Amino acid sequence: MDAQMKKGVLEMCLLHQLSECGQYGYPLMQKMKHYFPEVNDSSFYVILRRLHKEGLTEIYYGESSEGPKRKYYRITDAGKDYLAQAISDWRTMKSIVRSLGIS
Amino acid sequence: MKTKKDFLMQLKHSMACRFSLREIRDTLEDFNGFFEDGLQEGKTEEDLCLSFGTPREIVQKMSSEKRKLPLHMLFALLASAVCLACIAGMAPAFRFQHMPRLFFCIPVLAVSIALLSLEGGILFEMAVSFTPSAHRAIPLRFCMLMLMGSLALFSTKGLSWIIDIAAPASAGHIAGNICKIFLLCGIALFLLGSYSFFHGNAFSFGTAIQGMGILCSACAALDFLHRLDALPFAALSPLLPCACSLLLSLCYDGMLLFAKHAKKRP
Repeated sequence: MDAQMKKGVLEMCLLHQLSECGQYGYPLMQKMKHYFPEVNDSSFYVILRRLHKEGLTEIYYGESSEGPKRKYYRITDAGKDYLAQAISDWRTMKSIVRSLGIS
Repeated sequence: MKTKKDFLMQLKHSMACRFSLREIRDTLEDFNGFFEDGLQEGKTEEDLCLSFGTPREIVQKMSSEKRKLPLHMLFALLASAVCLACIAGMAPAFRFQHMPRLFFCIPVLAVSIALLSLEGGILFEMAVSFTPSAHRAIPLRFCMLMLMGSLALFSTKGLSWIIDIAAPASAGHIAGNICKIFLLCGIALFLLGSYSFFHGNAFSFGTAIQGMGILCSACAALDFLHRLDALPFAALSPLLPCACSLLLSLCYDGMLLFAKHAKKRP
């Protein structure tokens, strides 16, 4: 997959995952890796970090049964708006591509 | 890279200088957590290292998204420039005695106050909660020392002869030369600490500012020796701000160490 296309799509997918429920980094990365096996774990981490820096996600600490508190990520309102925009762009792109004759 | 320790160490070294200490610490914490989670699932450290990729690649990806110079680097550069200006201002070529001292010390004070307010929020939180976080304490200590040191420089006069290290030692000036040695040690410590700091080692900046404190104290002590024939109180006055600054810095170090030990106790 083209790098630029991948970047935007991965962001959208990560945000979508977080919009359903807050998760901590490792299982989130593992789940994404299941769908995108050729993408490196660290790429997801970098995207996650960027999303947090831009205020689209926020961090909260949750209790864990053993060891220190875990860092959970969840989507913010700004993130929800961004995700809605990204999904609408994606749908637009899909319909354009389909109307060009590529199915 | 086969082990978690190697991976984290290489990650830390790859990030040094390009990222702020806070970002480095957060990233190391995150990856430490990923390793822990992966190991709990039954994966080996080697597998996890392979799946994360090399630290260099990770840092490259993160760097490509950076837009501005991290605050800590700017702070360190600014602080070094200010200190060099202080030292340069003592040189006879600048005719320090003729310049109104305020023109020299006001910028120093202004910079110190600006740096303090930049990190003000974090420092306040630290002071209230008293968590020993080394890289957060550093700006506070440095600014305190800069404020006190500039006050000391302001109150001493005839500093141009401090630069004249080549002067021969006479019996009556042994104490003066001992002070000059301390001064050189202070400069050396400061430069060493700054150099180490640029390589991402938080605690070395503490060394740098201790060096600065010694430097300022030595300046004041040298001036004190020249006033021995004057009234004792007047002679002591330049020593006081520097002694206070050193004392404050040492107290702060002591409190940090104490809190660290208190935290470690189960």
